[in-house]
Amino acid sequence: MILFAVGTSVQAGWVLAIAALLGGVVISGAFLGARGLAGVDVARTVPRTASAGQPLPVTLHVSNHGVGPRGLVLVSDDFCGKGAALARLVRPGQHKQYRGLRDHCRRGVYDSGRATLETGFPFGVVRARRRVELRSPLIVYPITYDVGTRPASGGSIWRVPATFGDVSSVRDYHSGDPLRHIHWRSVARRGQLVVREFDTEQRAETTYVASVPDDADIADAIASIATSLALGSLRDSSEVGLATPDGLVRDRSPDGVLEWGARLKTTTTTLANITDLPATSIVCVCPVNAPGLDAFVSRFFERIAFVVMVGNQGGRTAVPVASVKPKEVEAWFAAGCPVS
Amino acid sequence: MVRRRLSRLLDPPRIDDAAVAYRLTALGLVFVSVTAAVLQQAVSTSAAFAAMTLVPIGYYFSYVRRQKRNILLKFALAGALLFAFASFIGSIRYAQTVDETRAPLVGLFLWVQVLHSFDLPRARDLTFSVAASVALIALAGSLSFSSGFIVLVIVYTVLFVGALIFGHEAELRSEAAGDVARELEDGDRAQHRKGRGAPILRGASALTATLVAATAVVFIVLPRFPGLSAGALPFSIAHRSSIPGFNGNVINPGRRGNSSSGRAAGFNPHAYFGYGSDVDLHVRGHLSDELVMRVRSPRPALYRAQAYDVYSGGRWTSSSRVLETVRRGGLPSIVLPASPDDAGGGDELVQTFYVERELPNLIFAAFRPREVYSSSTSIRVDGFSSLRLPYTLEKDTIYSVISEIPREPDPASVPPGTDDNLGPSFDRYLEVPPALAGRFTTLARQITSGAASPVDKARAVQAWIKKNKRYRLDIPRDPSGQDPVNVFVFDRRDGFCEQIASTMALMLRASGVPTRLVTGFGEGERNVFTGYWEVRNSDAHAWVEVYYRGFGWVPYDPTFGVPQTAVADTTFMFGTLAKLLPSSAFKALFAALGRLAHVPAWAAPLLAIAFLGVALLGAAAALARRKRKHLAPPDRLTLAWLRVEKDLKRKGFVRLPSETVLEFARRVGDAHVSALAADFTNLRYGRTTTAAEVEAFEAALGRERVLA
Repeated sequence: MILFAVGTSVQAGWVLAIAALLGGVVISGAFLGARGLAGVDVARTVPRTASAGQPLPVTLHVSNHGVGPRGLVLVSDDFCGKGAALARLVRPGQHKQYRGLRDHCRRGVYDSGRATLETGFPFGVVRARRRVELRSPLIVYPITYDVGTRPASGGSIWRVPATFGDVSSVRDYHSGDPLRHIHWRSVARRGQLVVREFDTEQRAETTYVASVPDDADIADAIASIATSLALGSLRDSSEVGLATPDGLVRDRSPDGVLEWGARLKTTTTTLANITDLPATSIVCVCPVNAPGLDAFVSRFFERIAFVVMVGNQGGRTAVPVASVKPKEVEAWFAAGCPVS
Repeated sequence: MVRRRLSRLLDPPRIDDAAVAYRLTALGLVFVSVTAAVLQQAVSTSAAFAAMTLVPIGYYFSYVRRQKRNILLKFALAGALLFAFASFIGSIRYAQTVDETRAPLVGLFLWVQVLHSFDLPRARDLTFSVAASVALIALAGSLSFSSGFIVLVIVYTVLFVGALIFGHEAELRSEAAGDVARELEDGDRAQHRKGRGAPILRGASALTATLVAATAVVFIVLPRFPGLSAGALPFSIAHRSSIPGFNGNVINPGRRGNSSSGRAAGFNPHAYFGYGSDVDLHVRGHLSDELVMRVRSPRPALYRAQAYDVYSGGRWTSSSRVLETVRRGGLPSIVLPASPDDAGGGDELVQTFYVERELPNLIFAAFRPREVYSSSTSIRVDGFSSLRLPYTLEKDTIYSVISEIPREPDPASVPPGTDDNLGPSFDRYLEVPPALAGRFTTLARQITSGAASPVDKARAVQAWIKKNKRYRLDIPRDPSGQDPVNVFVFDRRDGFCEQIASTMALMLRASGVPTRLVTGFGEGERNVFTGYWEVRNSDAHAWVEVYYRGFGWVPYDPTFGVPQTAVADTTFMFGTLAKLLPSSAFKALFAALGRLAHVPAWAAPLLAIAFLGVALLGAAAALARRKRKHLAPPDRLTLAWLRVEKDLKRKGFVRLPSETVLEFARRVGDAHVSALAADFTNLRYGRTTTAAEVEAFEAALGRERVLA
């Protein structure tokens, strides 16, 4: 407009020609820019699982199903942290892949995430923008730590479980008996199939109870602590139970424990809602002043090994602020569960 | 907070903004714009050389140090910038015209480019360089007289497009803020199916075509409003060849003397014979096409030089012997005294003349000149308001004139009948030589007999000439002893402008309307790019001025059927482009638009919008047609059937949502509709439908009217 005014003022045609060029750039840029995303599709692929805090490889797939080439397509993707892909030129029928690492991957279960496609190609005069929901199922496990010592027993029933129990006798094989229970030496001696009989196993089972608050940082810390402790128990070949105010999960695989940690989320129910825990030992990880904690401790006082409370303290966020050990639980409970 | 902000200002978060391609294209833009400025002599060669050396160094320096803070450098550059600005202010302090500020402005932009080139840490900083290069090339363009400037504009456009694309890429990269994912090599191989280059070429072609088309449309519909009337207009003199003993005579350097013998011996193709003491109608020939001047004027005009009032024996001479000297005094311009014959008023026209070749010592300007900006301190004015300089016009002489162009008055407002009551001073404008007293006068009176007022008479004579005569330069010599006007009127159909103008002038005189013959230059051709009217030697022209009592002298150009000087406020390029178009249909369309395009200011935006609207609608229709052709056969069929339903809806039959096509056709109860519905159903839901079958169906619909 300024050039047009100047060109008109001095009656200089070249100035008007340059003004027309700028006008042409605006018009053609608007026309081409507005349809710059026609036929452009984007997809995202991620691994099925990931660990919080670890770089997550994310691949963005940009394909062009339009009739003409598409240029400078920016895909902004906030899935598990900020990421972007800039497709400089995508020919018709071409499919390009862009791989980047996301560093802000939080614990949780993800099904999809929003991405934004944007282009102003060629001149950036007008930008076409499209938001798409891209499906990419992902379970992000909580951060886990190597717990060196297993939890101490809260009562007198903690012991190391045998893998198969103690052999009490042998008997004839009946259909349906596991083959691994066949006692081959007796088979050789008797010439018929004989299986071992076991005593009833007296197994110790520790149930980890986690209650997470709305605060995402504290929730992640609780998940990390509970999952790390549970994994430690698994490594010691203990039976592990995983519980939340919503219910109990029995999964003896490390992946199961990690997935339980990933899926931990705030619920409307409190620790007070837990009425039955079939465990010999209970470890509770919860936020400071968790609702229903006193009722929970009262209910399972005998079996509680210890309670870890997570909160913010001394300028640090989401740290264990209290860990109540077995012998101290009674006194702590008697004192009304104070936080030091 | 303040400290943090200050620290952020001085040391912004640094992003590695290499953007090499953008930097290179921006550097190219700077080079082209500086070259343009040099070619227009807006900056000295040494300054340009320094700039062209320093700018690449600056760009390299900026690139290498893009991650550094460069605080001291920034302060140094700011100081240098202030110095450059102060120097610019100093340069324009004594400038009297807007034009005079242009060269210092170019210099300022040049040094801004140089200084700025040292401080381009981020890609977005290059935006200023690109914008400054636009300003620089625009300034150079405003100084350019030549169409050759298009070469620079094309190179600049290519680089500009590249800079915009790379700039946009850099912008997107900076928005992604370093999180840009790496492209994997193992994308699918689909691109190899069609070949790698072809789609890119197609895309680049589409981009170029769209840009060129959009630019052309904008350029065409961009209204040319009248220029602003600046307080002081440009003038200069290149070589001053003073005329020794100047007494007001016209000195025509190329004229070879007069001829009254009817032979063309005195004709010089490089100099018009109409500037001097007389205009001899016996002289004829083709004038050369040399460029004599460029005129900056918002609208076309006839640039008048001299007037003649006495006709005798085929020659026009001037009876005005007394010349008045008008001096500039303390004013920037020479203000001309108002002629007692003219009522004054009219449309103001500002013209600046750039002389390209030696010309007579006449000031060419649209009639009536009011103010002259010239390097001469005085000029001579004759009784016909013709202006003479004490030196001949040399190449590169510049002068400006402000004129007031009279309009043809309303016929009803001009007193009817003969003008016997004009006074004795007008007798000379009514004289008809005895040689034309007979049948010429009778014919003239016959032509004007139905005209009520002098204006109507002028129109009647002009219409008669337009109907009965044709313009042509190659005509044989006149028979010896006969008046050329008589020969032209009664014996020939073709004649040149001096004969045509003389005929009109003398016919009107015979009808009692005062006239005089005027010579000068026609409007020339407007260069669509430079905006200057390019006047050639062959544009030398003769026309008529008609006197209307109470209004004054009004110019008429009977040769090209121009009733009076065009007084359009705003023009477009349609008329000019019409001449360039090869197709006669397009030529006619653009010529019609060109006639329309001489519109008043208020109508210009409407016309521009209308043209743009038509162009966009046409483009949209073409795109829709193209898209329709590329539809899958079932979709094309559906579209075709929907047209049938639309047709039936007008007759009162509307298909219910629950009805199938066949049910609907049965309800309509027309055999033809039933047949169409059956065809449609077979084709639409059949196993395969070819494009040929769809076309046949569409053609059948096109041929036949539903429920005719």
